[in-house]
Amino acid sequence: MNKAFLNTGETFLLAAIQAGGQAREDAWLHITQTWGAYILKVAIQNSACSPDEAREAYSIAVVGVDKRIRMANQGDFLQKASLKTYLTKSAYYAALEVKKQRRPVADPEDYAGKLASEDFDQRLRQKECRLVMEKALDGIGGRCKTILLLFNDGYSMEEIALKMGFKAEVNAKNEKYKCQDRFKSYLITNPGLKKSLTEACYG
Amino acid sequence: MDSETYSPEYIEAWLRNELPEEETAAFREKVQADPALADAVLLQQLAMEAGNHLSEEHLQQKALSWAQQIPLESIPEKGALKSRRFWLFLTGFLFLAVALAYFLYPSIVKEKPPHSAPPEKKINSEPSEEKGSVAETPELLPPPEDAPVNKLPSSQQFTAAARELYDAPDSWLSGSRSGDLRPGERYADSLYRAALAAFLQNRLKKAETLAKAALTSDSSYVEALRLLAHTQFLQNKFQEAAQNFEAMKARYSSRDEEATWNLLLCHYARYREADARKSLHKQLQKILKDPEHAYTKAALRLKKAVESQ
Repeated sequence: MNKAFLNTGETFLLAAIQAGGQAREDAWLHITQTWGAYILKVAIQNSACSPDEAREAYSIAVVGVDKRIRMANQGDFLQKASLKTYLTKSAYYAALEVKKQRRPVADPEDYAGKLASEDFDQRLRQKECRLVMEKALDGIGGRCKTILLLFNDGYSMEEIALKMGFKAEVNAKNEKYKCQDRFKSYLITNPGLKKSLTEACYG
Repeated sequence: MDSETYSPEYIEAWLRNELPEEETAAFREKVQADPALADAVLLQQLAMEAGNHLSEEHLQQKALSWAQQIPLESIPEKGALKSRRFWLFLTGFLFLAVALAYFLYPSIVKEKPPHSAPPEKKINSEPSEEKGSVAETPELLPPPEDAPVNKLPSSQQFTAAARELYDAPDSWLSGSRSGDLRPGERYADSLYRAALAAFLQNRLKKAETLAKAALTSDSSYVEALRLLAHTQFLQNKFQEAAQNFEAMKARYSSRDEEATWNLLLCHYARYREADARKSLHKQLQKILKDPEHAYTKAALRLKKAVESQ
């Protein structure tokens, strides 16, 4: 990864986010506590949104940036801007969206702005997918949701076994597939939902 | 092979592009040819999407709750920011105006016509820096021991001039001791701290009493000696201060230069006294001969002031 624009602190934060699990959550908490006030201020100043709207925008930006960082070999996206700059831009675009304002066309030289804009376009395209997914997940129960969440958050088998009270790590993996099966069965028994979900998520 | 023979792990690995290249291509062909397998792949893909969705929603909720903990007052409203910027600008402008007036006033005053009333005789304690440098310092004039005392400025004027050249030390906090102290040392240390607190609050009499008590409790406590000397200097007790700066010079080698300079100022304050004049010239000569001395520049100023008497 080209770390020219990253200081040592940011390099550690990126590594923690990529590692997943508790390290990722701690990294985001640290980022929010360290840069949060600045990012919210910029969003408020530039989009004239309220503090609550800025907070919502910030939370949306965090999801987009996290996704980019965690995609395989995608740390390279921070070649031309620091993590803080990219997150600030993302929060600003999200604030415009929350305020239902038109987004400015990103300057080709503004690399961070361009990426943030792309992320936001993708999120908008997936809006319907997220809504239908919420309905589909109603069919698997809270425990299964937690297990799938922990896997996707990057927790290790050992951590999941500990959190969920499984005796062995292998049980955690089996439980994950059991929960996925439950989700699949729910969709098979609800073909309309399956169709809506497929269309909403994959067009 | 049909869809039943492929485990969810295998399909997941294919979806994540984690299979070897050849296997990936072969599986792709099978998916395209087998609708049941394609459906199994779609279901697996949706199940993985469900996990991603849960993760994103969870992170967003977390980020929102953390952001809500950022206090509102630290996020100024747009109007407030503009207003704050205005006040900052105004304050900066006023500050600049005052600073300009402060620096320009002396030059305006200097430009007054020469026939204005002659100023009262004053001790020149701050001659221009350009007048001389350490390298070209001429020998100090011999002490005017024989000069009639009544032609010299008054004691008050010498006191004021010495005080003007005095540079209060700012490294007091290192004076307090730490680590394992003996009971006597601990007591002396607490007295020193109290003395320092009084000194910093400008309660000089109290500071002097406490510093003396600290020294009585532990005579080796050189930092208390230093504080005592400075406290006495600031109360214009120049003779006592000189004795303590002299003792400090002998016992506190790392602060030798500070002690020498302040001893010099004590002599300067008592310049009307012959013995003080003699000591001052002797000490001043020593500092001026040492270009590495921390107080050489200040000594140069003092030399000019002395010569102008």
